[in-house]
This record gives sequence, C-alpha cells and structure tokens, in this order.
Amino acid sequence: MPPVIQARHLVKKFGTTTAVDDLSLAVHPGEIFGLLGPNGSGKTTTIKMLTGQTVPTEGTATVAGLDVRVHPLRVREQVGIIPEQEMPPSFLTADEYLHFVGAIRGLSHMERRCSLWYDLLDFGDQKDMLCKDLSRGTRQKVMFAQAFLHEPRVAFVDEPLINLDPIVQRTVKNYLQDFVARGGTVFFCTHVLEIAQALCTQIGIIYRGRLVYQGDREDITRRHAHLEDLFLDMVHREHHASSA
Amino acid sequence: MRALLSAMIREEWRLHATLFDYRLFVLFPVLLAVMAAGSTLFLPVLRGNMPGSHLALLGHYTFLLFGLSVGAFGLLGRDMLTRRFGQAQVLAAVARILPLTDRRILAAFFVKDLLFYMLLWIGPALLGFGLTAPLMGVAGRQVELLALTLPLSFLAGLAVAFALSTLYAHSPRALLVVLAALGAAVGLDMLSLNAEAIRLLPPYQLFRCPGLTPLVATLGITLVCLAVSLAFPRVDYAGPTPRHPNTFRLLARWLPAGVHAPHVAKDLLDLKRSQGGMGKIVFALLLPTAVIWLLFHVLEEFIPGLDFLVVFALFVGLIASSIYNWLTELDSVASYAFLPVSVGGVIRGKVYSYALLNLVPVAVILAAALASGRMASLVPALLVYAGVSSYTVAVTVYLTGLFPTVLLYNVQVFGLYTLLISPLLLLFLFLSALNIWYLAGALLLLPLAHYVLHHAYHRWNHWEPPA
Repeated sequence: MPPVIQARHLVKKFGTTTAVDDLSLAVHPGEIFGLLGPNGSGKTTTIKMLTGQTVPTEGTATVAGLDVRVHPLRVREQVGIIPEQEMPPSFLTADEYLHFVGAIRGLSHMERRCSLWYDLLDFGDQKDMLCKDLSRGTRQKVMFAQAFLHEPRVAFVDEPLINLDPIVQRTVKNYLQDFVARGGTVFFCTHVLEIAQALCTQIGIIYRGRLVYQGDREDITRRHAHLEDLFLDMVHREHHASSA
Repeated sequence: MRALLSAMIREEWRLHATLFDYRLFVLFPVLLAVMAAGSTLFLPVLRGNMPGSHLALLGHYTFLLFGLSVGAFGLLGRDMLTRRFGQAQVLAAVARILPLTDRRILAAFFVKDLLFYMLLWIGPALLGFGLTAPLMGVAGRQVELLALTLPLSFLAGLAVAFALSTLYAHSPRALLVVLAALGAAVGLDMLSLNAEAIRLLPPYQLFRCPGLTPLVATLGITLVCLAVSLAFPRVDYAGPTPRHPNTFRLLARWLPAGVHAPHVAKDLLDLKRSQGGMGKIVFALLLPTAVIWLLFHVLEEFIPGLDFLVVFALFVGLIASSIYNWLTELDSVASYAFLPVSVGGVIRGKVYSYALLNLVPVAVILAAALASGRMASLVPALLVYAGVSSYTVAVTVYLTGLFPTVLLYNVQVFGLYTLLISPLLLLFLFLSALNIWYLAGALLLLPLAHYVLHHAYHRWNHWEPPA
C-alpha cells in the first residue's frame, strides 16, 4: 500500500537557521507515526511543512496523494490538525467555533457532528461558554473536536494530550486507536515517551532538524526495554557527534 | 515597575523587528520629520488664506485628535493583556502571573505606548516643523511654545479618551450621559453662533496667552483624567461566566456575504463581545469625526470655496479605515493556519466585515447632512466617501495585510501609504472647490480599490509567518 504521508529530503530554513534538514519519511495507512524530539528540534516545523502551513525551502512532500507545495489548501481540507499552541478564538463559544470550522469546511449536519464530540469528550455542558472562559483542558477538547469534525483520513496532532485529565486522555487514546483501525493515519508529535511507546506503531526521532532514527515499535521493544532508553541514547550520540 | 516597563519596550521593539527589517523601523521617525518639514514649506500658502491663530487652532486640534484616536486604553482591559499580540503572547499577559496588580501592568503598558508615540510620531513631527518653521517666517518664540503646547494637546486627547473609555468599560450608560452633556454644551455654544467653546482648548489657550492659568488647566485635565483612568481599570468581567446561544449560526446564515459570511459573522461577534464592545466604533470613529465636525464649523469661513459636508465626508472616509485595524487587532492569523483557508481568504472576510461596518460612517455623514441642512451636498459627499473609504482600506490591506498597526511603522510601508493616499485627497479637495459634482469621479476609485485588493489577496497568500 502506498504511503499516505511521504516526505523526501525536506529542508526548512529561516534566514541562516536550518530548522529541518534533509528529512525523509513515509507513513502508511493504519499507522500512528510518533515524531519525538527535544524542544526546538523541528517537530512542529515538520508538521507545518507536511500540512501546507509553511513552504519547504527544499524537498518535496505528499499527503493523501497531494503535493503540499502545489495544493496546501486541499491538503488542509483533507486532513485534521491539532496545533501545539493555538487555542480556539476567544470570543466565540465552543459551539460557535465548531460551527465556524464546519462552515469553513462546508460541512452539513453540524448539530449531529458536534453532539458526537460533546458526548465523547464530555464538554456539552460548556458548549455555550466563550472559549476564553474555558479551562485549558476544555479548550484542548474543542481543538480535538475541530480536527476530527470532518472525519478526515489523516490527522496531524501536536501534543494532543497536554492539559487533558487521565480519563479524557484514555478516551482520546482509544479514539486514535479506533481511528487507525478503521484505516486512518495519525502523525503524532509528543514529548511524553510513555504515550508514544503505548500508542505509536512507528517512531521517528528528530534532533536539531535531522531525523536520526526511524523504526517500528516492535524493533524498539526488541532492541531496548524502553523507548526512553533509545531516545536518550540517540540524542546523546547525536549531541556528541555534532560537538566533536 | 521600571523592569516591567523596559521589558515591554524591548518587546515592542522586537515585535516590529520580527516582522520586518529593524532599520526600516528606525527610519520611520526620520521620514516623519522630513514629511513634517516638507509640509511646513506650504505654511505661507495657508497663511495667505487663514489667520495664524486659526492655523494654530487647527494644529492643536490635529494633535488632540491623534491623542483621542489612540487613547482608548480603558476599552482594552483584559483583552489587551491577552489578545493584543495574538496568542504567541507575551509580557502583558505573562505579567499577570507575577506578583503585579492589573493596575500596574496597565500603567506600564500606558507609559510604554506614550513613550512610543512621543518618540515615533510627536517628537519627529515637531522636529521637522521646528527646523523649517523659522525659515517660513514663524517667530522663534511661537515655535518654542508650539513645541510645548502641541504635545500637551496630544496628551490631553489621550487622557480624555482614556478616561471616557474607562467610564464606558464600567458603564456605557454613564458615558452616554457624559457625551450627551458635552454635546448639549457644544451645541448650545454653536447655536449662539460664535462657537467660542472650541477655542477654549487649554493647550491652545496656553499657546495664545501663556500663563499659569491655562498651564494649570491643561495639566489639571490631563492628570485628573489619567489618574482616574489608572485608578479604576476594568480588567475583569464581573459576575458569573456568561453563556451565549449560538448567534454565529444565525449570522452566518443571514449575512449577505456569500462564502465569507462565516468570517464576517465571527468578526461581528469578536467586535461585540471583546471588551469595549461596539464602543470601539465610538472611540475609533465617532469621537474623532465629532471633533473634525466642530473644527470645520469654526474654520468654514476661511475655506469659502470648499463644501463643508463634502470635505467632512472625505476625512471620514480616511478615518473609517481604522475600523479595519480593530478587526485585525481582535484576531490572530495563526488561528487559521491549520484550517483550509488562505491568508488572502481571511483578509477578504475582513474586507467584507469592513464594508458592512461602513454603514456606521455613512449614517454619520447622513446625520451631519441633516444637522447642517446640507442635503443638497449629500450625494457627492457619499460618493467621495465611498471612493476614499474603499481605496484607503485597499491600500492599507495591500501594504499591511493583517498587521496594519505594526507594519505602518515600516518606513517603506508608511512612505508608500502616504504617497498613494495624500495626492488623491488633495486632488479631491481641489475638485470639490471647483464643483462638488466633479467628486462623482471618486467612483473611479471603486474599481481601482477592487484591483488593489485583488493583488493584495494574492500578495498575502504568499506571505510566510516568521519562525
């Protein structure tokens, strides 16, 4: 089966800084690909390039068969994205924001779609509150709902479990596993290695913009007891190599 | 307080330096000084048509107007702290988790903005004027006096707008009462046909008759307004967390904005629900236009060839573009980046919102025509308004995209903005003096605005946010 996300030699430079350097990867349908890396290693920039939010300086990428350089808006139509930092706009209620996203995506049956998410993530009683008055956790639930409202086949999620309580975290993890079981694909960025080990089927480790490791979970389990060991090992090795 | 203030100044600097080359920011006051010096060269022409005292009055009201238009700090409150720079947010918001009161944060923010305007606008404008005015026959003592009274006029406008907006934040009804009382007083004065009240502006009085009384009056009004505003900031909403039925759905369905209706609906709700609500329109538009109206009333006798209402409409068209600035201030481009909408699409939505909100200035012009009994000039006034308002916002959009309040300080942008707008304004002033129906030519600005906007959407679609 052809990869649903494919990057070839992606480079992103901001002035003299290289945020992502010669990154190539392939993610197939039904996989949860976990991109791990220290702060500032290029995870978010990679997601932004793959979703047409920023133009690669060099290299190519396709998502759901679409070239991200040529069709950035169509890529964003096809996929769902949970950004790392952005929160829903302050002055709409949660319900209004989901309707706003639905209107932009041209969705029908919005009441039904929204209700599903209110029930699943348990925030229907707060849907009429302005987003700025919601707790961070509830705002994160709203962001999760907006990303999956249009039932995408591919999702890019950047630290989606941050701010969520353990009960909702479990719900979200179950949802993501069901999502890939139904043929969906998830590109997952996180710092939380336990979650990555439990959830991801493929792991990539990025350090200073370079993908320094890519492998599947079984390979990691076979070679290392914990993902944390592999992660620290790779990062230290790269750190020493770049210092030498 | 000093540490907070200096950090805020550094932050303001970096906000501009991130979006464009810092050298273009540094050159901004230089360009302004050059422009002020250049404008002063025309002083002899103006003095041939108008007494020096009226020119001075015009100058003081221009600075007062500038102060009024930037002084609505009281409206910002918590929204300023959390929204002004979008969600990639910064000291004003972070300071809230430090052991600092909201009052102190607001005071630091106010002082920072005051310094910013003094260094970037007031100082350079006065420097340019001061260097050239003596060559144009203005006495050295008058230049010195103006260097004192014009900034005081700006400060007074800033302080009064701050006080009124603080009052509005506490009680819109109380503001209405105060404005009605002020309006009645000015109206009575105008009915007496001598319109003396407008000459009572304390900084202007200080210029005319330097002495302790006008100085105390100027400083008294300014300091009292500032003290009251800083003492009673309205930072948090009172009462329980409000709930709102889904108004967005209704607006998006009924607004006549086609595929942009969701954006327009969101903009209207942002405007209504952010702190200050629709009061922002009052402070950005109605207050400055009221002052212009009064000023024209006084100066009318010296500009006999010009139609009062048409010139008023021309200036309202120019000021109306500040509505676009408010629309962009309440939004963050990053909140659309993950949705299937381009930057050009977001801007297009804001232009539709702007077009809808233009009903307010149109109503102002209509009211002015009725109040002044100049209904015969209403059609040309509306035509020139439509042309100037559309063209000005199109140029603003092309040059600044979603960042008008930041990119205006790029010397290249500001220079281009001035070059693209000023000659047209002068042309329309000239045409209105010949025959007000020549202003029907302003309709040609509509297709031009459309053309500029088309290119603006394309241009900003290719814009990349900084890292």
